[in-house]
Amino acid sequence: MNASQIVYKPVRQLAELVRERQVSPVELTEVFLERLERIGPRYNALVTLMPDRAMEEAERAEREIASGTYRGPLHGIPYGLKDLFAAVGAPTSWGANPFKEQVFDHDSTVARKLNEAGAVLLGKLALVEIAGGIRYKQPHATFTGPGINPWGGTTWAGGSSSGSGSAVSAGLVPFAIGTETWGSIITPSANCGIAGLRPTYGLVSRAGGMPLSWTLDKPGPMCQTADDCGLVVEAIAGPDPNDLAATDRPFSYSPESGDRRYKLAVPVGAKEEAEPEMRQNFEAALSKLERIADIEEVELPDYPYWAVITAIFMGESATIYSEFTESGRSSELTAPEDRHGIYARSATLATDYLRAMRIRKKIAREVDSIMSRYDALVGPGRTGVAMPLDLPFVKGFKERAGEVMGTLGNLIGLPAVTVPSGFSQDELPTSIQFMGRPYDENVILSLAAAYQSMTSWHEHHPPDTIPAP
Amino acid sequence: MSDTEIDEAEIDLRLAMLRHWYGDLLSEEQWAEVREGVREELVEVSDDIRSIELGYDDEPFPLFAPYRGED
Repeated sequence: MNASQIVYKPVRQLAELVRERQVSPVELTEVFLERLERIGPRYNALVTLMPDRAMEEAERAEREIASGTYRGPLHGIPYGLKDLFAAVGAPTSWGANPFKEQVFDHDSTVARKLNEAGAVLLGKLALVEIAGGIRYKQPHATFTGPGINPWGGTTWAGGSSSGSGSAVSAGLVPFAIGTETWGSIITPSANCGIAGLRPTYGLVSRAGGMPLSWTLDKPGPMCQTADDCGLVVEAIAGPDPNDLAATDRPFSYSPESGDRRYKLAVPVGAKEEAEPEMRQNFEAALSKLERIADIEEVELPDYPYWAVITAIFMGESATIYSEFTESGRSSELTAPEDRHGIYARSATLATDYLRAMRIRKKIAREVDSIMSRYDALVGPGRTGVAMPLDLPFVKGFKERAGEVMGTLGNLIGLPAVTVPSGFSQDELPTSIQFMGRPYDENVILSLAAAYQSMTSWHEHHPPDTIPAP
Repeated sequence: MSDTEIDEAEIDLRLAMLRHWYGDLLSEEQWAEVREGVREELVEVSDDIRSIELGYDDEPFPLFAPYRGED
């Protein structure tokens, strides 16, 4: 098989080809390694290529499958890992100059679980420095250069999982792992026109990943389709003695049959705050969804979500990075605003942090009571399409992060999946997201998959990246 | 954010503490930016979260669990 028959195939289809031995893990690995090495730098997507580990894992998968041992749908499937997860064989830079040479002698839990599932690690993917956790105000906040969006070379891939977004979008990896503390999976997935799943907090272990905010950090998959996200999250979910927040609740991906009618709600404000093209495509998406769902508007409780999540984020990140702050090494960061942006949060009051944690619990209870009436909340993936690379963020930190669903969902640990919903006039992807109650990944993934079965936006790919037949 | 006026004195007090700890690590220009950070990320946030009424029984999610290693 040549590259044109492999690249952009969803994991589910690649898995079938591997299982039936129509394509070998080594062939797949060679195709994607070559693409990641050749095309990755075009989008500033790659930090470290890992050909030795990749070929070793691919050859092992090939031997196992040839001898009749098939581990499941990720067996022999290549992937990329956001460079804030430890993986033996490469440094773990956290996207930041001061940590560029950092080396761990063990795999993060996510990398270990994917290895056990038979997946093949191709390399470490770029991110905004410290996962965007300082105070960056523009896309150039990383030593690898700004994450470039394959859909528009002058627009941003989004952050902080920039390389994971652009690498999947450009067909350089069949899937990637990102993380979200506050928008870092949903944003690049939406900007790059791919599917991204932010799992329920604690469904996927954070062990071996860079900590940014203990009660907000969530690893998750970024893929061609929502269905692929289900296959990947099943492999990485589950308890982990190295992460006390990892849930003991078992998870297996079991997409619903699609023969039931769903009940959805659009939060008041979610549509209104979207830019015109995003809103227009969202309304078109709702029309499609009306075939399978009853949809109404819902008013969410009136709390200062932004302030509550900010108090938690600032308090946790301040103490995680207290030694780093005292060392003065933030002066080595790439973005000028990041060099001083870490300091203010050291003056967070413990009483404010704990007050925010108390309010968080009230919000979680009230919102869950509302959400129990629906299968999911639905809204635009983001307020707008990808922004230009060379402009500072038009909105300030507060407004930029103030999107209703993203802020609320991250604050109380709700799962959400985004998939493409069309294009703007400038041919940039627009997006839709489904957000569920805790541990309702199967519901939101089934909804997103049902939406994708009615549309073909996920079958469009950036023209410059499509291999010749 | 609530409509109450932001307390400039609180910003300056918190900033003074930061300057006491990290004074020589940043330039005056950077300290001016930090002051804006203190306003936006801390003092305005404090103001907003203090506007929410809480009862004595509103506990946070548990953060601590007693630890006992293997016997």
